[in-house]
Amino acid sequence: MNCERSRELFADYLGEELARGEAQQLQLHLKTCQGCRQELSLLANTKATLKQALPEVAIPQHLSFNFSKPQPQGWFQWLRQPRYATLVAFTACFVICVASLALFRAQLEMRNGDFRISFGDQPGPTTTVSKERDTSFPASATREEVQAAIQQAVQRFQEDQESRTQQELRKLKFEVEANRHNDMKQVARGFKFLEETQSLVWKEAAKNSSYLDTIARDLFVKTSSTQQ
Amino acid sequence: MALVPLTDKDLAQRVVRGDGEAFNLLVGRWEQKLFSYCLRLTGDREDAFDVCQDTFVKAYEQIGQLQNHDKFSHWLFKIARNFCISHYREKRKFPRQEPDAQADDAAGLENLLSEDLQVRIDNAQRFEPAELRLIVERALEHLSFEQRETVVLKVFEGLKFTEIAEIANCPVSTVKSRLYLGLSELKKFLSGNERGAS
Repeated sequence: MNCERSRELFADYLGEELARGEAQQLQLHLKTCQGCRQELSLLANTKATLKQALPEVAIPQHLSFNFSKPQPQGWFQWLRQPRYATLVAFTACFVICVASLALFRAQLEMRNGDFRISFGDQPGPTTTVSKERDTSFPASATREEVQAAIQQAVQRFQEDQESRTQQELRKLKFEVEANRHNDMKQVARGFKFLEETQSLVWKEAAKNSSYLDTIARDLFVKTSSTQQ
Repeated sequence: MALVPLTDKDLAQRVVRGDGEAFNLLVGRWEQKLFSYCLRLTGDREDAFDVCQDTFVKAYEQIGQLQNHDKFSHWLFKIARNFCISHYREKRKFPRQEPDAQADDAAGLENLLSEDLQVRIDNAQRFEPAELRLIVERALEHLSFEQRETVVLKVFEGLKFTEIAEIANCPVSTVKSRLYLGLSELKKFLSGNERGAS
């Protein structure tokens, strides 16, 4: 081993990671080379001085970190988000207003561009209707008037019924007529089919008779020839 | 039934699942070593403590990105290293003002020693511990950041070359070279054969 190679191993020696084989080779070289021996000795001494001069200094204060547990995320957490805050505020105001109006039974009215608001019970439209009825049947009506009104109502009802019956009759008549027309069509189709079938039967009969004639003629010819 | 101590990997996995106390256990386990490492790199207690705190805060924030939980300590040292580099650059940008010679005894001693910092290693035993500490700290300041970091991780923290290479993100051969050159520089500075690089 030469000096160059031995100095390559100095770092391994000083780092206490020198392999056994290399340590033996280095030892052999150091026995013969005073320069390398002195150099390595000084380096080892420097290392020892460092360790001696700078002992471990205790940390001035032990470190510790506080980890606060995260807040549970409920379904309502999104309400706290700033982007929904305005929306939530407006909705809440609207609900409160409506609830207040309902609580005080407020009546809102817009008539001819005039907005009116009143609180408490007000006569409803049902009352108006009853008033109208009262007008048509005043409390001071006589028996004859009531009878006449009933007769008129019955007459109106009868007329109404009659007109409905007429409508129904017309409707039924139309349906009957339509059905009769369809039946006639069906009968016509049946006759036509019968005619066609009859003609086919006749044609087939004619064909058969011609065949029979041919066969009879042949038989006649054959028998006459055999007799001869 | 024997209790099995939790490894860094177990604790790191618990931290990822949201267990803050597991992180405090990791802090308690590594704060001293990390502080020593930072102190030897920065050379200042307050800076070292700040770097230490920043390192743990960043580690907690980014532990989800740590893929191999076995290497939590290496990863921690790596974060601290980056903070120390930032600190080193700031220090170079804004060099520390030398304290007044009359300010206090320690500052006076430092100034006195700065006049003649060529100390023979053979005489190391004759110095008072405080004197020797100042001499060595000043000597370390003459190393490049990479050399100082390698010397600290190897000599004081006792890490393997492969582990240092992982932290410093460089090949093992580079780490060995930095250790050799760093110790050679320190040797030159301390033995007084020649003034160290400045």
